[in-house]
Amino acid sequence: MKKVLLLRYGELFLKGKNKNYFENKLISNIKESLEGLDYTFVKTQNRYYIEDYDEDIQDELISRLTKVFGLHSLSIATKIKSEYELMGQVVQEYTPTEPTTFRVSVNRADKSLDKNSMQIAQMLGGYCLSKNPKLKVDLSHPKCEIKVDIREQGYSYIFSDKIMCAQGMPVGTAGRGMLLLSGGFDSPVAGWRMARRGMDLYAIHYHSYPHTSELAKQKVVDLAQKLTAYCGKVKLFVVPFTDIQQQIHINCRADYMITIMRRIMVDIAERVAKNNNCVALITGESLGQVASQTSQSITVTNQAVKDLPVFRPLIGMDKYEIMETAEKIDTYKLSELPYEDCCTVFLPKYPVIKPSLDVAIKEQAKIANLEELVVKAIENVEIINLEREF
Amino acid sequence: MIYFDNAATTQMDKICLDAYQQYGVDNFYNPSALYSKALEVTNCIKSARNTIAKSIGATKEEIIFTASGSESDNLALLCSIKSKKGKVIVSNVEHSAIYNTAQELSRRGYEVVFAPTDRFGRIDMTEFEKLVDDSVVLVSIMHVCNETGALNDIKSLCKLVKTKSPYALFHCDGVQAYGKTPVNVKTLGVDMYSASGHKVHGPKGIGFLFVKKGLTLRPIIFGGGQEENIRSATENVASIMALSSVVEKNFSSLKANAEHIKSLQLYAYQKLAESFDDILFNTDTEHSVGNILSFAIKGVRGEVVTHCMEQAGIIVGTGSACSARKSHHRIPQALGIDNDYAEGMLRISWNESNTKEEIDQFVAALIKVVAELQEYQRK
Repeated sequence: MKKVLLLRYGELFLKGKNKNYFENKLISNIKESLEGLDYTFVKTQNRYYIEDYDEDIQDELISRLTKVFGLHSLSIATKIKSEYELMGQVVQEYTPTEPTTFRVSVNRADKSLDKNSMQIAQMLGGYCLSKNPKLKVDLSHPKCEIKVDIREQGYSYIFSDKIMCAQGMPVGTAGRGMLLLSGGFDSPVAGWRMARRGMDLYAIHYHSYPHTSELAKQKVVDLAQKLTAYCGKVKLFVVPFTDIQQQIHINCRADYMITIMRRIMVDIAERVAKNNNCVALITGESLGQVASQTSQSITVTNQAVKDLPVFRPLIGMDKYEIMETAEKIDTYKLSELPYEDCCTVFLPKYPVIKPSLDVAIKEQAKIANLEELVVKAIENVEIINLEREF
Repeated sequence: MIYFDNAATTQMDKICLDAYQQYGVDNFYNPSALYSKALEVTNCIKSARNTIAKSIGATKEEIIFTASGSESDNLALLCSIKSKKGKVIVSNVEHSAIYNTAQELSRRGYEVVFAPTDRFGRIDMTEFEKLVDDSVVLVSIMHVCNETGALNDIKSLCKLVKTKSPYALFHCDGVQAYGKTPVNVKTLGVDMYSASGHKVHGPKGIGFLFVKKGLTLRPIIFGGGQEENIRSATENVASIMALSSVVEKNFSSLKANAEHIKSLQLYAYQKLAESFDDILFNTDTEHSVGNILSFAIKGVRGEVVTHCMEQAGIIVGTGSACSARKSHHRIPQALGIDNDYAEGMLRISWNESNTKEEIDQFVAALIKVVAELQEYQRK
């Protein structure tokens, strides 16, 4: 009997008149994510089905679909003709073998059948009990629920377990964000979380060769590539940052070096973001995690951003939670590679924890040709286009 | 481009290409097959095995071909011990292929102890003697330290072990010694000796393990029974033949080459010592092979120096003590290197074709790079 995948979407059902816009985006994302695989996409009211695929690719389909933001969950269902005996046979396939509680729930869109939903559920429950007499019916809190969805065109879907998907909103429905991507654990997770809220992602990285290595840059490219499994194409901007870092080192107070570096980073990120139609910056800051992420440090850094909002989805998360997400989205192993990034190379012995905005501005002004350096860095940005990879 | 990272790998000698043409394309036959062409290939391998055996004073029956020095080390440590418990001694500066395999032996229930070395990576004989008792079942000590070039007195170490624990096996990782210093396994007295092809201008993917006659190993790869049933797999004929031709071509001049290489080491040492005040040498030139010189300059990171030198057209290495690889801090720690220098470790390693002029260019470039980098020392 034919297996199909039943897809449910999440928050989209809350949308009103513009629901179509979100749904169309979701459907196009689903199709993009399943590129190269043979299947048929069927849309019904509030549900989608993936049908006519070879069973060998079922795992691959599921693996890709669980990464599509906007989908809530999916089930592996059996599609059959709406004939009672056939339904009974299939229901038995889904019947648990251990002694537990269960119910059969029937949704009947096809009103031409001679039994109503309740009667069909009772009848099919009988099939389950004949397969496993140790089962007990529990209509309120069953451990196992077998669902039968009887459609109008003379066929039915039967399914039981639910596989959770990535949830959130379809990528591309919330504008494009510019993610400041280092090589650490936090920023890829921050990007993933904003993509989950529907943002299309671009990423920016600061490269300080020879103080940092080509391996450190490759690590960031690989991290951005990992994100494409969730959000599709990513454009990565690699900013040559050596000259600026060296000038900060020569001209500015040691304890303010990181503060000033971050101010310049967000300034560059905002300029590149605006040139590329981004509506926000995204950072992996988590309150109090390091000296540059105290409230005072964030205030001083934020002041260097002129117009765009800065989204900090990890601001209230513990490191442990961030690492857990990194594991889940498969960026953990890359992030733990030990190559130095530009932040650690020029790390002063005692960075300021509560910087003053006035001092930061004054110290930054000591770099006489800063504007020239920033413009030059932006002119020499290397752009790496990353296609979706699974 | 000057290449000073020969301890990591060497450029393959072009003579190897002939072997690949001959045994990869022309006589590509599987030596286990029954036709006469296959027999010809088998005989060629036999002859290559003989050449390689002779290069370390062994017989051809005592050579097991492997895919790498690491595989040889794994085979020696994991497949030779007969008893189910006992003490295993390895040095604390061993290459990861030994160090991590010893950790595996520890997980399997053996008591693994790490023998300390002096500041330059040479086994501390007094401390070593204290560790050896009759519970020892296996000792593995590297002939030459890959980080510093330190040359261990394997003959004395082996004698000491055999005196105190006659049934203990002695393995020596000779990956950095083979082709750099004369090796005679019979004189050294070892039971097993590992070597690798790509460190001596041979191809990557070929190594061997000397196993003393009379000693039987358990198989590491099961299959068709090649390599005396210890390491089944169709022989890597072209690589075996390539390695054999390199050995035949180069090993007759090993002594003269070693002298030239030593003169480069002494010259580099002198030039560096004259050029830098804050330099710490990790190589003792009196007790080391000549192709490696390890040092650190205070306040500059080895990794950054490597990148800057590459920009200047000179490739140098950091060994495994690269500052960024936090898991590899064990070598500077084992050598007792001060934190100010630990992140700055550099390992330069040359070969017989390098010259003093190239050392001059290297030192001149390093002076420039260090001066620039010292501007950006951590504040």
